[in-house]
Amino acid sequence: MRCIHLIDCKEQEDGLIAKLLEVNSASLQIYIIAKELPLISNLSVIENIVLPASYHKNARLKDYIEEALRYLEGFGLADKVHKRRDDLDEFEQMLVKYISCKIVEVKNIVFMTPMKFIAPEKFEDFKRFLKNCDENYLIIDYNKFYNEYNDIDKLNIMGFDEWLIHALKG
Amino acid sequence: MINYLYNLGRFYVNSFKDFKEYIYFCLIIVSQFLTFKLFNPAVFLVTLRQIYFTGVQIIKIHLFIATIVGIGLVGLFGKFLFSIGAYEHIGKVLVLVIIREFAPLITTLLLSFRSSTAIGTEIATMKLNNEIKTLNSIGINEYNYLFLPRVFSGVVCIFSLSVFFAFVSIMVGYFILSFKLNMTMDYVVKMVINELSLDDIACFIYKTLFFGFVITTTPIFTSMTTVSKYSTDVPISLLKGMMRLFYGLIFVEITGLLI
Repeated sequence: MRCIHLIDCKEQEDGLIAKLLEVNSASLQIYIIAKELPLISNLSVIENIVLPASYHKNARLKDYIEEALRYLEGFGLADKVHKRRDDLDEFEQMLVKYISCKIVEVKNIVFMTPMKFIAPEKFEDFKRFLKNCDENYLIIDYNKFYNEYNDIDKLNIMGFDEWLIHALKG
Repeated sequence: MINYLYNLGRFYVNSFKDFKEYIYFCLIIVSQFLTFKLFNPAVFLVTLRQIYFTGVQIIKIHLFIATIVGIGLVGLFGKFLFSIGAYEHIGKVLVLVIIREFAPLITTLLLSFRSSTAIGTEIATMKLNNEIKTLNSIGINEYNYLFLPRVFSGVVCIFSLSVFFAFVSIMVGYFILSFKLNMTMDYVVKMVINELSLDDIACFIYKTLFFGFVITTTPIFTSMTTVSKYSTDVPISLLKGMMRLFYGLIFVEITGLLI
């Protein structure tokens, strides 16, 4: 299911992030992709990707590397495997988080105010990515950017709590 | 005058509050240790890296300082004892000076200068950049993934490097004594073992374990409580952390004397 929840101010955004962090404090159920939650700077791209899976599934990092490399190649990031966060642009960082989410097999994703951090020239790429994304996702963004998402099919406007209940029910 | 008393009172109240929070923080670390999370592959990898950064990279300079101490203390002090005819006390001197005091203390000072500052800055920067929040967002507990490996590696490295320090110092001292005074290895080892009591071993273990615990938990705790959202918080947390570390080391050193 593709949903969008519209907000008006920064306080709402902070409140929603806090709510999502609380949901994840017990177990990882929703993958949050937000500028406020950056990649870990002292880990490489591949280490950032496999970290949640290795931690939650008690498995060695090696077990996920092949799969992660396949995803990275698919998104054209094969040359960034051993790079650090600061060598990637915002869109690439978002892709790395998305791959990490795929590897750890979390089915619900929240994109927090993507318009704020994805550069305008990369926004078309981001929309193309959203159109192909098959997870249950929620975009949370400011009202004023709503028109930017017009051409994404089947994007429902939904209240945050409603989406959360739906997501947690699985 | 009233203002002065007011500030003094506030200082003591705040210090007490900080100390209480620190104790609580340490209890969480210890309780996390008992959950065996160190064996989680992701956490174990961080632990191995920390042991490498803390204990392996420092070996060269550590060896150098242990050699200097060995020459300076054991060699020269040994010669002095011989010159005044008190050579039968050399074993006691080696045990008291090297094993009880110098090996744990110098190792701790070296690791404090090198690793405590690095740990403090790293955690402060991670806090500032919201990276700890990122870990929480993916369901990773910062105590398990960040703090526990650093504390564990600090304790393990101080203990093993102190053993290494004592061994190297005594060996270097022995070489000097053997050249100048025809002492045999067997004689030196026998003297050291004869003088080594259970109290000395307990003191060595107490000091190394607590020094290791203090030099890692203090900068981590200070970074976590001092840094909020300004980059200027990082140097402040480092400064505060090093001062607290200094008090912590004095505390362990003094309580070690009671054993």
